[in-house]
Amino acid sequence: MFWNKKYGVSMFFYDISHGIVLLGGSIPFPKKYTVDKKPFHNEIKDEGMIIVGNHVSFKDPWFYSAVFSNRRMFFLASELVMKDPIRNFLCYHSGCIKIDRNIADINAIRVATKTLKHKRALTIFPEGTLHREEEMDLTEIKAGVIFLASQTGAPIIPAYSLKPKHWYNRRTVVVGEPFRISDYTNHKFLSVPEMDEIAKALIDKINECKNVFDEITGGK
Amino acid sequence: MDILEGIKEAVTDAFGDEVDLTKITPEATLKEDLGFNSIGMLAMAVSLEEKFGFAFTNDDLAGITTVQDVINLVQSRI
Repeated sequence: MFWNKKYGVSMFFYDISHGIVLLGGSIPFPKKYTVDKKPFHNEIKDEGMIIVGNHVSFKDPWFYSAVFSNRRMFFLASELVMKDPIRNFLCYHSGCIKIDRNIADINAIRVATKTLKHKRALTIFPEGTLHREEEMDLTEIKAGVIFLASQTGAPIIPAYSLKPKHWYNRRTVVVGEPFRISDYTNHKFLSVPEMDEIAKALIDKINECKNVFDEITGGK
Repeated sequence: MDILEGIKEAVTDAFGDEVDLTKITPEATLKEDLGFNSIGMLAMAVSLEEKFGFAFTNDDLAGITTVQDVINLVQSRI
């Protein structure tokens, strides 16, 4: 059950922590808002999806998995996050797919593609690393996100969240409407200008989520 | 199929007319001469996998510098 042989990724800690989040009451369970107020889950229930959002805390994956609790979720994690053996163990058993950003990591891309083709959710933090709230840097979306979406046809779901002021406050996560590469191009392999155009559109979508977040929370 | 021709087709599938096919010679380097970045390498690998029916590994990609390296790799796998 926990060992997902199909992807070569264990979900042991993911399933346990996911259960704790779901049973744990209101503090760990985030408040979710959708930008267009229209539920889209039915629209994409038969597809994999790529969730992209800003990254402010190591707990982000936990909250995103709670927001999308109807899907088993995998995460793309940098090899730097998993270099410590304890973290490697925890991440490995929490559905993390290790990606080496210094090389063309085709093994990670292959596993990620497989999860999406099996209609799973995959969370990617396109900034590539943790950023403090005031330093959010979405000026460059990692091209790997767009490459994966164009290869699999999976919709990208933009999201935005910040840490709450106090640990006991519920966290707010704003989720945007699905973003499809096919709205921009029919090519499976994208040219650099196409990638740039799509990356800019995706940044706009995440910024829309940020604006809604600021309206709801006053930016806190 | 001539492997070099197969590579040119795979590159055309992956990059359209962004890469000048006349530059694809066995001696050409993928990064310097053809301008591939890591996503470009992935796109080429996925396209070659579809065309020749084998799977690249990270070590394969790390060991590729020139078009001749790609030819040697494809030859050893098909």
